[in-house]
Amino acid sequence: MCNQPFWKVFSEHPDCDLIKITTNGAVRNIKLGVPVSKFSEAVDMLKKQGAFLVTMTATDKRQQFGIFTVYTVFALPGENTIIELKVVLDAEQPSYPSITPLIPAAHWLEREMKDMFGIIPVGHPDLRRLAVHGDWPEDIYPLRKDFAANTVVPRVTGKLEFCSVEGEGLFQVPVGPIHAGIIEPGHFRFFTFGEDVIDLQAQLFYTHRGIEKAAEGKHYADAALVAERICGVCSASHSVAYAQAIETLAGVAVPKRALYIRTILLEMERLYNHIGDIGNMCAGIGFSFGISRGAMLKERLMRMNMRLTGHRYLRGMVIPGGIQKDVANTSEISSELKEVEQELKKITSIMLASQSLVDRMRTTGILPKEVALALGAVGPAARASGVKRDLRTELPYGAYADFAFKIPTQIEGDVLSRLNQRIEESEQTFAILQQAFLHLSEGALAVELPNLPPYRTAVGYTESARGANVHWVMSGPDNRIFRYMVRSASHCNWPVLPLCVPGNIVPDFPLINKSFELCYACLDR
Amino acid sequence: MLNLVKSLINSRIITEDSTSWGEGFGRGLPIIHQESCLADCPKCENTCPTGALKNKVINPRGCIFCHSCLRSCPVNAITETEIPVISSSVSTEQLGQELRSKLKKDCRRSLHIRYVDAGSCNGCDFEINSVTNPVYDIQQYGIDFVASPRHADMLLVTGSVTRNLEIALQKTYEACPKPTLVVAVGACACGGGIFKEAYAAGGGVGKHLPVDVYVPGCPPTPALIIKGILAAIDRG
Ligand code: SF4
Ligand code: SF4
Repeated sequence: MCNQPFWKVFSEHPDCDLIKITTNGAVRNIKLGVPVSKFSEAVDMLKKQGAFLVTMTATDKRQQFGIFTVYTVFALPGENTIIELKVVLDAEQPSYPSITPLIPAAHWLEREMKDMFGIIPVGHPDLRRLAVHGDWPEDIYPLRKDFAANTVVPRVTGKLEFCSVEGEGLFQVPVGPIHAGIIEPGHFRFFTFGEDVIDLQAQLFYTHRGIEKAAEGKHYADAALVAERICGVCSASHSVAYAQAIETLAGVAVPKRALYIRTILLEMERLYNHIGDIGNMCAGIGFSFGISRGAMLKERLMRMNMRLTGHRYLRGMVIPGGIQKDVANTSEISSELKEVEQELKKITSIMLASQSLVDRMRTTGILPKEVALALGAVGPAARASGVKRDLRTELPYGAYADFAFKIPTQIEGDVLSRLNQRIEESEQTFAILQQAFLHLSEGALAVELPNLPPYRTAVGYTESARGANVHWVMSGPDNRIFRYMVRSASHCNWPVLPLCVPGNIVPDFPLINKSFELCYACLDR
Repeated sequence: MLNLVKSLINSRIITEDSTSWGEGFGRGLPIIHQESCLADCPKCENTCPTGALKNKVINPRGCIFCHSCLRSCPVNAITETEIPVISSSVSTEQLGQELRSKLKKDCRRSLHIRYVDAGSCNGCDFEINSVTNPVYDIQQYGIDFVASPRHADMLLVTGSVTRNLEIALQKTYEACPKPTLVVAVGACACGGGIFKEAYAAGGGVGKHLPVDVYVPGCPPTPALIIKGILAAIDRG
């Protein structure tokens, strides 16, 4: 049917307009305006060409142009292409045909737009609130421009909404938002029959801090500080994703040394996360050897971060335009990494030799490949189910094209696969780090950015330890941020987790949860 | 199994005590050296994203340790210094200073902590997790984390207290036996951080509960968190 590239077909249509085609390194960006009436058709066509959803968001430009706009960003794997569809909506009654029936991965994004902008995705199968809680009044939409960030919003009476699950002998087990351990807050509702979980539903967004609103109106350099504070353990990947979006807006190329340093930061971050997670997954089954060895090795990496950058979480390094502070002690760190690699090998071989550990993890919490694909799961969780998707190779950014590394995958999609996935990914990370340290050349750390053209959009992304972190930015006047949307890896994977729990027993939930290692702060923002 | 036992036997004790923490206290608090500072220069104040720097004085509870001010100074009059933990001098709780002193006295040898994430970025929480790792091993001080607020002598709170966690935090506090010590961990908990007070963010723990000790930092290092906890029970 469509041998011609999608955007050609559409750009020739009288109602559609091709806004812009640009290239950014090896990646081509296509922006296309489509009328509301053609939106579903366009999305359907993209789906048929194998595109996957990257992010989706809205802007309120009523004051400037009297419109709401919905932006949907897709990527065409294999073609190094990003396609952004822009749909203009009516200011009074903003609505459009929901794309969730076509692309299930959009379902939380569309609900969020409804909560935050009051834009109705008509035909969406589940329009319960997502991002605001029951005590939030109707008709107040925090991301609209006529809502001031410091508004004190009254609480109304309302309660948690769950889809009903009924049957004789069924119990509901509410857990959270405050949990017993040192973990983030979220409310889970287990529907159980005996020990077996029949259904799991979650109420999240407890740590919603209004990050996107907080960035609006800030100078892009100040908003970088907000980006860095979305998530503690993805600080580097969020700040790089944000910086890349701003650099695309400004149309500048970052110096090579800065790109290499960014790679080092991103991979150090992946490493301490993966090693921490490998240890933590042992906590899910009480295998103390793995817990304490994992924690020790992670602490060692945190201290290496400190020596490298002066910050355990690698903060204060990345700025739009490059890097603001050079790395230190590089040769020492790169040789110490070899010791860490050996140590990790030792620990994981002992772990995997434990029959009881393997028994607990095998066939627990299975994420089938089809579900991972349909719901747009990302990161190690998706790759452990056989979805070979990694933005470092799929839409290469930064300096990743310069390094030789593999993208490992697993088949079964159970907890054990996710453990093995992290082990194998760590091996690749050691390889990337050695190459980056070896070829780290002298040179400038950053470039000056020119003024940003107002009301332009750009997307920046990184593959963090948890998967794709996508930052979508629209510039405003005076180098300020007009709209900022963050879709983190956890945003993609949270809807997937509850589907992997039914059929398992309640005590396996912590283990399954840890194997996904979802971040609440990244999702809630 | 054999390898596991071998590996256990070969390992050394790696727990450090507070005199040997190898890494200092992380990215420090900016300090303005008034003698070299230019009288009418507004640069650092203008660049500060939080308003923590006003009239050439830095409020450690408002600072997010971005070091923008250090870089903005044309004469390098700003350097950094160790981050202090701040004991609040006036505790607003009605239960009275006397009871709190008694608690501090009773808890000298052991302390049970209930941790609450009131809307953090997870950075502070990971560092709180780190204080339980074998290197810092907070249990060496007779201190442990408990699952229920009913067993807790102290609440350790991170985050700016978001709208969606305000009630949960209050309820946790109410569930603790009184008097309860409250320690605010991190820039967000100390003064709201970069989010300040907004429709969703609550401006810091001090606006919601009586705080005994503030531990600034973004995030504070595990060493500083332990220092803050010990300061709250007068063992610092
Ligand atoms: S918030 Fe940043 S600029 Fe302001 S005082 Fe602290 S380090 Fe300096
Ligand atoms: S103080 Fe910093 S590390 Fe702690 S929660 Fe706030 S932003 Fe995160």
